[in-house]
Amino acid sequence: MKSVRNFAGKLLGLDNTEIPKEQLNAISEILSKFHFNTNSKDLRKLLKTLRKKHLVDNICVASKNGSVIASTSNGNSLKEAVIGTAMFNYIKSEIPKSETILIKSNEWYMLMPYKNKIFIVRAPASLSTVEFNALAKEVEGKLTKGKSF
Amino acid sequence: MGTVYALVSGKGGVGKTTITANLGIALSQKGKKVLLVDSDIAMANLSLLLGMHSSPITLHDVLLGESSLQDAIYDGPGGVSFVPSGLSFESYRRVDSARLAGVIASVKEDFDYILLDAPAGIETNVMSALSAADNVLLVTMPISPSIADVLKTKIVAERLNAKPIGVIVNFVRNEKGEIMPDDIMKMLELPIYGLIPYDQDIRKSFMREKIMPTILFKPNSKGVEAINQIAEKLTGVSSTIRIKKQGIITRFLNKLSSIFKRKPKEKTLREEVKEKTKSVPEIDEDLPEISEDSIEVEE
Repeated sequence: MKSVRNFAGKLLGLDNTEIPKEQLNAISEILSKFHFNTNSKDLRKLLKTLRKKHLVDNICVASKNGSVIASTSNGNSLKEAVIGTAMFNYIKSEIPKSETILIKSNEWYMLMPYKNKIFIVRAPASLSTVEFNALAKEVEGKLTKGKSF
Repeated sequence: MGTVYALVSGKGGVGKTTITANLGIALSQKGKKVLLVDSDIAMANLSLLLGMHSSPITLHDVLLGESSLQDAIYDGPGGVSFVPSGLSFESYRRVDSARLAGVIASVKEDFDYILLDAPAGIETNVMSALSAADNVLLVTMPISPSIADVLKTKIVAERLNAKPIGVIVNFVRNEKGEIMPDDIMKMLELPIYGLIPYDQDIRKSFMREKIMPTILFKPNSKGVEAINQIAEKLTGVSSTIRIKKQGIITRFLNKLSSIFKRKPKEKTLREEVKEKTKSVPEIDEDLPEISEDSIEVEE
């Protein structure tokens, strides 16, 4: 009987497919977790949002002399900015064409200059330079728009 | 100033390369200056589809800083210009794809449309293509794994501040179990730019002695018609997407005719070996946005 039904189904081109509704609900849920409001006027809040958006543990923006512009870390920002900037300046003096510096410890420390600032990012996995640039551009865009932080 | 579109997907094999080639030629046929770039630097296929796999200077050379992009632009079929990617594994390993954005920006003035055939996935090479593009078109099949993967690509695109503008759904067969365009729009929160039906003519474009995009040898096929509609959307001409559902009688007749269609007799291995050993073979030297309302379902 089954083979007759199969043959008839094939002959008539019957469609026995169905929409996997459970899977669709799961997919919809994924996207709902990835909405980030980056319109915050508070730079620290913005960095916290960017931390979630780019899936990193910490972002510190420092000026080239080592002073902190903004950071997501509590209490360690000054130390991070000074050490990060000193490290970057040292490596830059040894390898003048350095663009991005990645240091693997238990986690990744990443240093990148962008428009007279040093971006110091800590994350469990390394960011690509394209992603690092996107993060820096987003912060710089907010800073240059002249918003009151 | 031209606009750069990246055609990306989560999964491979959803038809990005085929759509890029045919869409580029469709835009060119509408009088636009089009540049196709094979930005899939690891698994370059676009040059194969355009029949230009033996080009001496490639995107690899440009990204390595050994050639300028102008030197890597060739005249492709159907009036398009084309930048091939290298097939060499060695140069691929040395290439820094992060330079792609700067390279593409240098020729934006010379073309109306620059289409990037991006790799599948969300790895560094995909990110480079996304960051080089002004707009991103997501290509997917109407099935859940393909949509789940393209969703991740969309999230990555947004992380890079690229702008996903719409979705192209390929291999549409109008089966009950396919995810409907409305649901795809809701899930991806993007408009549908095109619904390309499953088309044997497109599938066979890689199975010819001289490989070429379907638009050049079967311009009236269903798939090419859908690609032309996407080109119209990109150039600003609005059109309505029609999803034609086949009735049970049509399906029955199609099935019946396919059963009685003669297939070429397959040769046995013994026959093939016998034939090949007879003689030595000769060597030849010589989209503005589209709203939900504009999708009509015809029963």
